[in-house]
Amino acid sequence: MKTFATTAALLLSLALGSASANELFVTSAKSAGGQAFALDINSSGTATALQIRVAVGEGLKVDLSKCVSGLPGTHSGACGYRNGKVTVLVHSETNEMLPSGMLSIGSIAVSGASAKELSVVELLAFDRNGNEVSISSDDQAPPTRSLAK
Amino acid sequence: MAIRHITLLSAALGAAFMFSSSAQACTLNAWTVNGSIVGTPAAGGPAEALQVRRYSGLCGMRATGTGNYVQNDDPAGDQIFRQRFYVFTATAAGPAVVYQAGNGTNANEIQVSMTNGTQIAVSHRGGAAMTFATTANRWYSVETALNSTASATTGDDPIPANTLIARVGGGGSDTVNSNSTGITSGAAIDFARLGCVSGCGATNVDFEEYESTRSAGTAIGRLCRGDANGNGAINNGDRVVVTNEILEISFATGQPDCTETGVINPGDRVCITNLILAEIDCP
Repeated sequence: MKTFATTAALLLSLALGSASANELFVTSAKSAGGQAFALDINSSGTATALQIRVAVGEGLKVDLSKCVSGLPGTHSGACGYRNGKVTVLVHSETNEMLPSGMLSIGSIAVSGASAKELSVVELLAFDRNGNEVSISSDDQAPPTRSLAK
Repeated sequence: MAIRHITLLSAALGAAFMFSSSAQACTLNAWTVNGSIVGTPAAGGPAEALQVRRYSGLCGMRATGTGNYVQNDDPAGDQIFRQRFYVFTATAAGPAVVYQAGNGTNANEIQVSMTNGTQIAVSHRGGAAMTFATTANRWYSVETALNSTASATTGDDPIPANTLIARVGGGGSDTVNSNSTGITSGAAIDFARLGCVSGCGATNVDFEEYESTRSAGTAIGRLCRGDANGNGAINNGDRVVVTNEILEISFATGQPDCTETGVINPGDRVCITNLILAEIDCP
């Protein structure tokens, strides 16, 4: 089973135990025929919903089957690929907060001639009142190693 | 440009309103300022004893059968006149006249009627009606733009000379159908009526968000469907707000009824999700 390695930045963040702000981590790794990206969040426990848009390029084969597969049981999500961007929505049917700490959201696999590094073009987090709360991203983290075979 | 906006809400609340509270008061008092309340149309909302459907905010108006409507007398011989309102397509056999704008000589310079909830017709006196197919029991916006002068207006939404434009949209779609008809030169508006003017029988009809202007070149337009928190954008925060209303935690103060069915339910969350995934935002 393929698993993703976490980045050094992600591990450092975990080690520091920072819970002051939500931070998205995007980790890339080569996969058969393309790239795969893991989405993780270091949650501060202040958000119930996320909206993430990542530019991957147009005309690609994008596998979204695991895009929200890592979420805790309190949350679900939806994903779509349109106009060269993947949208990932994370939400709770009862507006539960995402628990504090490092959480996996899921992964996106991209293949095709023009596959390139993913970049986060929109990133929003919302509290229980639907108000935006702080979130940042570290989508420049280099892959630490290839996917485990 | 003079703008009139008649609100159905007497005292808007800026914050989410708890279900357990009863401090919210929906009234039609705004219509008594240079206008009148005819019969017994009633204001209500999700937080009120009278559970009137609302499209936006926390209040709506219910016309309880024929002869119950509100009237605004702000227009003063207006020959350029725009208005927009939302109506829930109740299944009155009709034709139920739900909007009239006219003057002392002709009460129906502009008239909007509804038949069986499946058709909205917009007409000018003596002219053929412009008809729009609708789905029963859904919210629809009806916008009209009148220009009874001999000159076309200019701007983003010009109106040809001696023309009435009608635009109807809703039912869970952003599609707005438009039509126009020639009208009698010099037709002037002195009043506007909203409610069950005639033909409703005993059927209750719900109304929302009436707005009128004298703008020559700017359409009023539709409210942003699915913008549940009213911040002018469609995003996952709107889904959170709809969830809160479903869970009876707080009411959405924007336009949560994305499907325009008159009820707030998980279908509206699905609808908002679909808008986000389709990258459809507020205009």
